[in-house]
Amino acid sequence: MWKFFNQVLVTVVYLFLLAPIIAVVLISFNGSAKLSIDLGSPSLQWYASMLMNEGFIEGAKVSFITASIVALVVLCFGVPVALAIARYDFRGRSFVSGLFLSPLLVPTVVLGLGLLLVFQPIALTGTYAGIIIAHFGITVPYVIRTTLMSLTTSDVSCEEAAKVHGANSWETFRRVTLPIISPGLIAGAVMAFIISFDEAVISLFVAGAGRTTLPVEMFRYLQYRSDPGVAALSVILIAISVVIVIVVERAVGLRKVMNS
Amino acid sequence: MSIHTAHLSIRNLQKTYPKTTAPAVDDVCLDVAEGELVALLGPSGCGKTTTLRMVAGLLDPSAGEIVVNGKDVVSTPVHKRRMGMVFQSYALFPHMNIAENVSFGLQMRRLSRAEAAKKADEALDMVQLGHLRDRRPAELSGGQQQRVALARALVIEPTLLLLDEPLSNLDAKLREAMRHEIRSIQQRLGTTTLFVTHDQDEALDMADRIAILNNGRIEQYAPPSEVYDRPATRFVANFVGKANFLDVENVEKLGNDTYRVKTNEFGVLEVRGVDGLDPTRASLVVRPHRLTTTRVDESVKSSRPASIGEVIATSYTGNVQSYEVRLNESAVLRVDQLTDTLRDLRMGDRVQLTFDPAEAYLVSDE
Repeated sequence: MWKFFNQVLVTVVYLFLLAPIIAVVLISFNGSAKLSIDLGSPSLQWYASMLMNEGFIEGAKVSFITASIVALVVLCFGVPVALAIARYDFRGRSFVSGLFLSPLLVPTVVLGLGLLLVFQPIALTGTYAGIIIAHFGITVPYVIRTTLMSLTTSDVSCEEAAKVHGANSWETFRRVTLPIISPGLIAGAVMAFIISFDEAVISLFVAGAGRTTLPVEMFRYLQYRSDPGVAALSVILIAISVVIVIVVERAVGLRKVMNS
Repeated sequence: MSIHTAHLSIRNLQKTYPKTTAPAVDDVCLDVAEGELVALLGPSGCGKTTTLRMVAGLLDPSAGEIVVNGKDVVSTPVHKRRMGMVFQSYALFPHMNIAENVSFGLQMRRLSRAEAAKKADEALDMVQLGHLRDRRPAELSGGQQQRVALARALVIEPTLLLLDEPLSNLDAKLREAMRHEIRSIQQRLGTTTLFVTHDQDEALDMADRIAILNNGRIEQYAPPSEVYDRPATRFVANFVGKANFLDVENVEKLGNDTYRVKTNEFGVLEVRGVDGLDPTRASLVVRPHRLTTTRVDESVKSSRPASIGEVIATSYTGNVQSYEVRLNESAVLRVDQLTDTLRDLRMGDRVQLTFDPAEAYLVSDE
C-alpha cells in the first residue's frame, strides 16, 4: 500500500517537473503557426525552418565555440585551484575555497548588468572574449567542485607511493593524480560546457550588438514572433544535452562523480 | 634481484605539527643495522607512522637527522631517497595494470622499457603473482594487492624498505601467512626494513628488534624476547603480551639488575629488574603463563612464593585456559595455562598461585 502510494507520489512529482518539457515537445510538432498544443496536423516543418534559420545557425556556432573554450579555460584554471585547496595547506586557503565554491549568490541580472558596465568602456561587449570571461565566472565553481570531489575521495597514498618510488611532482600529477581524477574533470568540463551553452541572462547583457549566442538569439526571436519554431529548437537542444550526458555517463560514470 | 643493504641511523628526530604544542615524535634515536627488520610498535597516536613518514621523506622533521649509509637525507627530496614503501591501503595505482604498477618505480628511474618489464616480471614471480600481470588492482584480492605493493616497493632495489601497517587490512589467517612471506623475502634479499605496526604479535613474530613508542618517545628498543621478558617500563609490559602487576614496597637494590622487594601477596622476593629504576615508582611484572595453580585441598608445600585466592572468571580459547584469581581486594591476577582437563578449575574454586621469582621482573612505573 505504502509502496503504491510512494510510486504515485514520485510519478506526480516527476510529471510536475517535466511538464514544461513535455509541453515544449508537443508544441514543437505543431502543424500551425500558433504557440500552442495542437496535434491536429503534426508536422516537422518547424524543425526544418529552424535548421535553416541563419541567425540560429550563427548563434549555435558562437555558443558552441564559446562553450568549448569556456570548458577548456575553466579546466586549466580550476584544476590547479582545486589541487591547491585539496593538497596544500596555505594562508588564505579557506578564503580561496570560499571564493570559488560559494554558489552564485548575486542574481544573474545584477551580474549581467555589472559585466555590461565594465565591458562597455573596454569594448568587450559583443565579443568572444567578453562572453567567455562572463561564462568563466559562472562555470568555474562547478569544475572546482567536481575536481575537489575527485581529489578528496581518491587515496592520497597513491600520490605518496608515486613520489616515494621516484616520481617528481610533475610526474606524480601526470602519471597518477590526473588519471585518477579524470572522471571529475570530465564531469566538470561537461557541466561547464552545458551551462555556458545554455546561459541566457548574462549573455543577453554582454552579447550586445556583435556576437550573440544561441539562447540570446532564441530570446530575440521570441520577442517578435510566437510560432512553435523555438519549441522545435528547444527540443533539439534538450536532445543534445541528453546525448552528451549519456555519452559521458557511459564513458566515465558521471553518476559516480555527481553522487560522491 | 641483487642485495642492497643500508644502515639507518635516526638521531634526535623530532616532529611537532603546526598548531600543536606536544611533539608527535619526541627526540627519537634509532639505529638499524644492515639487513635488519625493525618494528616500530605502539598504540595509535604514538608517533610511529610519523617517524616512518619522515624517514620516507613524506614529512619534514622539526629537528634531528635521518642518516642513511652515513649521509643525512633530511634535505633530500622524497623521490630521490630511493626507498620502497608499502602502504596500509596498498595504494596501488588503480588505472594501471599489475605489471605497470610494479614497473612504475623503474620507469621513473629511466630504465629502458624492456629492462623494466623484465625486472617487474621477476619481482612479480617472487611474490608468486606472475600470472596476474595484466589484471587491474581492483580485480585482485586484498592479499594479492598486498603482494603487488610489496613487489612494487622491492623492484627498485631500495636502500630501505618501509612498511606502514601493511597487514592490518587482511583477515587473521592471511595476515599470519603474509607475515612469514614478507619476512622470508626480506631476509632473502637482506633489505634493511622499518615496519610500523600496532599489533604486538606481528612485531614479536617478524622483527629482529622492536622499538616501542609511547607519546612520541621510544620506551624500549630491544630484541623481541628481551622486550617480552625484560620490559623496561610498565607501559611496555602492558603493551607487549599480557601482564600482571604486583605493587611492591621496600625496594632494595642488591646488584646491577637484582632487587629485594616486598609484596603484599607473596611476601619478600628476590627478583631481577630494570637497572637504575626509581625504587618508589616500581611494579613487579608476572606474566600470566608464569603462574601455576593448585587446588587448595591438594596443595603441597612449595619452596616458591605462594598465595591463595578464588577463581572469579574463566575463559577458554582452545589451547589456552585463562583464569582470573582474586588474591585480595586490590590484586586480581590472570593465569594462562595450557588446557589440561585434569586441572580444570571452576568459578569459586580456591586455588594456590605460585611462580618462580627468577621469571618475574621489576619495572619502572613511568
